[in-house]
This record gives sequence, C-alpha cells and structure tokens, in this order.
Amino acid sequence: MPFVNLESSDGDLVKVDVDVIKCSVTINALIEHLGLEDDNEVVPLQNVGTETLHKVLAWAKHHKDDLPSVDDDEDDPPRERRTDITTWDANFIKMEQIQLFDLILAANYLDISGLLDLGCKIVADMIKGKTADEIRTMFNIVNDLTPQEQEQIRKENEWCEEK
Amino acid sequence: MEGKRTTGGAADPTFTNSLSAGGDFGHLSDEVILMILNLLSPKDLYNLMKTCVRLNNLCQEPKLWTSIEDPPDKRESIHFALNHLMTSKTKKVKLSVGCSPINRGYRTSLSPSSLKLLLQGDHLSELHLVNQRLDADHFRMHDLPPNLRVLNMSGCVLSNYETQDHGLYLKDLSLRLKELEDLNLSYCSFAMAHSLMPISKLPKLKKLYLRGCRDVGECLAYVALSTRYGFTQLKVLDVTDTRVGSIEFSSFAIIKTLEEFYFGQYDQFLDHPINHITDLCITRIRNSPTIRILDASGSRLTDRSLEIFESIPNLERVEAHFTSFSKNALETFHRNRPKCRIHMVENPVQVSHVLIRPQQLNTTCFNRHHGPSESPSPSGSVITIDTRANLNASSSGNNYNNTDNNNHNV
Repeated sequence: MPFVNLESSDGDLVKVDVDVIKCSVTINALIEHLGLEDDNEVVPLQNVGTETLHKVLAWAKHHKDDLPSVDDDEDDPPRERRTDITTWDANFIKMEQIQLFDLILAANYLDISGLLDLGCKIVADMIKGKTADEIRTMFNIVNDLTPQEQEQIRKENEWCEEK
Repeated sequence: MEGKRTTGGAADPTFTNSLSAGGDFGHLSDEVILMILNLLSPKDLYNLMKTCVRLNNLCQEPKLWTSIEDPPDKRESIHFALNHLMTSKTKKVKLSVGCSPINRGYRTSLSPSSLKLLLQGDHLSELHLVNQRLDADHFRMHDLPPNLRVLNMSGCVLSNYETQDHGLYLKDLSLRLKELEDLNLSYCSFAMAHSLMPISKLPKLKKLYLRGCRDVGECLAYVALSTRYGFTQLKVLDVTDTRVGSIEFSSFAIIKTLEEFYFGQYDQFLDHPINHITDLCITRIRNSPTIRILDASGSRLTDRSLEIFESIPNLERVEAHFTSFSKNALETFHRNRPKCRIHMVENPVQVSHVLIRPQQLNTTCFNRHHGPSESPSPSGSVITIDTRANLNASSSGNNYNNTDNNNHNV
C-alpha cells in the first residue's frame, strides 16, 4: 500500500495511506502529476495546521469507502440535494468555531467536497433563524454598513421582514 | 472565538474589511461563503445582508435567489419581491398565507400585474399559491409556465372562473402542463366533478390532492371515465372530505399504481347516509400489490375490512380515526401484520359539560369551514347545534389534517 508524507504548516510530518487521502482532489492531482512514487516524498501543505490535518485525516479514514459523489449539476442546486448529516459526522463536527472554520478552509484547499459540504451545512444551520445582531455576535462581525446602506437594504427587502 | 489570527490562512486576499479583522468567518473565501449562503432561505439571507458590507455584497448574488418564499401578505411587497426577484432562472415560488383562526380566512389578493410577473418564469418548476385570491382572467391554465412540476393552489379562491369556457376552467391543464407531477387543489371550489377529466390526462401526474373539494365525486360518469382511461402514473390520491362514496371509491380503486389513498371523512357535515364507503367496496383493494397507506377515518367500515387490509401485502399504515373497529379485530390484525400501524382515535370522544368559550367556538367553526368558504361566519352559534362529541372529533381530526398537509407541502 503506497504512502505519502504530508507536511503541515506547523512543520509536522504525517505519513498517510494514499487510499485514505484519495478524496482530496488536490493531493490526488499532485500525486498523479508529480509521480510521487517514492515513500520519502513530502507534500507541503502551507494552509493546513497539524491539528486540522489530523481532523481531516480522521474524516477521510471514516469515509474512505464511500461512493464517489456525483458531480454537481447546474440544474440541481445543493439546496434541493440536501441530505441528512449522519450521526458519525454530527459527532465528528462538534468542535470549537475556530477549528470548524479551519477545517472548512482545509477542505476547500484540499478540495474534499464531502467534508466541505458538511462544514457548510453546519455553518448554515448556525445562521438559520438568527437575527443580524445574533449573527454578528456569533461570528464576531463588525457592522461596517452606513445607516444609509442599512436603510436601503431594509427598503428593498421589506417583503422578507417578519410581520 | 476572539480573533486569534489577524493574518494568514486566508485564501482570499480581498477581505480587508471588518469581517476579516474580527471573526474567523471572514477567513472563508467568497466561494465557500456562497456555498453556505446557497443553503439558506431568503429570510436568513436578508438577516445576513444586514450584518456587514462584505456579506451584503455576497448576498446580492442572483443565483441565491432562485426561490421566493412567503413574502408577507402585503400587495405592494409581494409585487416588489416578484418584480425584483422573478427572473427567468427562478425555480420555485411559494406564496402562502396560513389560513389560521387568527386571520379568519383572510386571503391575499394577487394583483393582475403580480400574476403577469409570476407567469413569466419560464424555468419555474414549483408554484405554490396557498390561500390566495386570484382573478381567473389573469391566471389561465394555458398561460402557466410549461415546465411546472408542482402546482399547489390549495385554498385559493378564484373569481371570474365561471365565465371562462363555460366554467371549464381546468380544461387546458393537460395540454399545457405535460411535466406536472404534483397537483394540489384542496379546498378549491373551482375543482368540480368534471375537473377529473383534464386532470386524469396529465401524463406524469403522481400526486393529486383534492381534499375538501366537495363536488369531486358528485358525478360517477366522470370518475369512472377518468380512472379507466387516465391517471396512468398516480401514486397518491387524497379525496378526504369529498363526496366520494362507495361507487366512486370502487372506480378510484382500479388505478393500478395507487400507493397512498386518503378517503377519510373528518367533516361531519358531509355525512351522506346513502353513500358510505362500505366493507363491500373495500374488497376492491384486496391483495393490491401497490397500496402502502390508507386513510379510512370517519368511515363506517367494520372488522371485515381489517381482514381485507390484512391481504394487502405492502400496507404500512392505516389512519382509522373515528371508526368502530373492535379491540379483538385490531389485536388479530397486529398479530398478523406486526409492521403495519393503525392510527386510531376512538369514536366518539365524549366531552361532558365542558364550558366552551366563544373563542373556541370560532376556532372550531373556522376549522369546519377552512375550505372554499369566504369568511367563516362570525357567530359561533352555528356550531352549537352539533353534538359535543362531534365537535371534539372534528377538531382532533383537523389537527391530523394539518400535520398531513404539512407533509404534503414538504
């Protein structure tokens, strides 16, 4: 079984079964194009910290036998395709917000669509039903809209406003 | 979650605004944030727009607004929403006013100009107009978007439909909507006995809800013809609280693809002494290989029907509220078919000397009429004529109705 060495942004080396990390389009492409046959070859991942990398690998290991997901169809937006989150995934994703965002960033960088979908669903669920103020507090967002802009948004979206 | 990092890790160099300074959310690229936004409803998007400049800009992405759901019942704002958001890409529009006891059957009127905007959506595949008031002259079947898969007009009140084609309002339905799979005309007074003819010709129709359309089933000839030559794909049929009786039931029962059949009677006013669905007509569905769910609530079925239900191999659930199945028969049924559930509220529910406050009276009164009638009669006196047992039975029946309706709408 071939292995590949991944180097996290913290400088730690992690030896990974190629079969486990095949879900990452980025790493797959690297292996194919660079012909990383040698077990001693190192793939540097500048955007992924050690802690996050281990989380990604845990997810990848659990899902390594999943069927490859069907390519996104223009006519079938994710909103309609939403499936339920499995219990394993739900437990896996229970983490600090900062770790969650790091994980999403990593999934995006490594191009692991299943993990990215999971992260996006969790964040969307966090946003659902919250007011603008609550969202700002939750994500530490500073309101940089001018009063004029706020008024404009309100006017245009009067129909969304709860009665 | 205080900003541990102020720099680095960012895949997108453009965020120099407040978002990146404060929260980790800001480290996500536009692409990822758009993926998240794509999972949210218009209301949530609107709340996000109000948070900061970057999210406001991202929320403007037209692709996110492919569905228009539940603008409040104000004519101008509905028009505004349609005017600004109705594009050729819009796939789903849902305008509904909950017909609750609080708003007393109030309905929104969609203006002709709003309707015109609605009908422009070429890509529209789902159109839900629930409890709306429409002018038939501006909402004609042959003007509807041809690619509709779902059309839900439950509780709609239509004006001027009588003048069109001599009242054959739904005549062009099957010519125009060849893709339609799900049609809900519950509590629509314009759905009549002859409406079954054009409906039955819809080539892809899988689900049909005609709950509370009293006139459907009024004329056996239409039922017999439509079921014999049409409804080739129909899986779900809801004729709850209609005048579908034993003979019409037998006709509907010949639809070979039927999986869910709802023929309960919750509305006690409709009780027709001559035309009950009886054990005899239930024999028509004996051994049916497709049927999974039956609703026989309020019917006069006896234990003999349970034996027939036992013969239906794939039966999963029977709603049998207010029926008189005996305990012994039910126990036998459960022994023989342990996986099939029977839901039952016993009949009749006795309520002795409960003080009924006027508010409750109105509620019940409203529930009774939450159909095509315009506005429920303001006085609660009508209801007191009925027996208390029925009163209670009806209200719990309606609870069931509501949950069921929700399921349909999902």
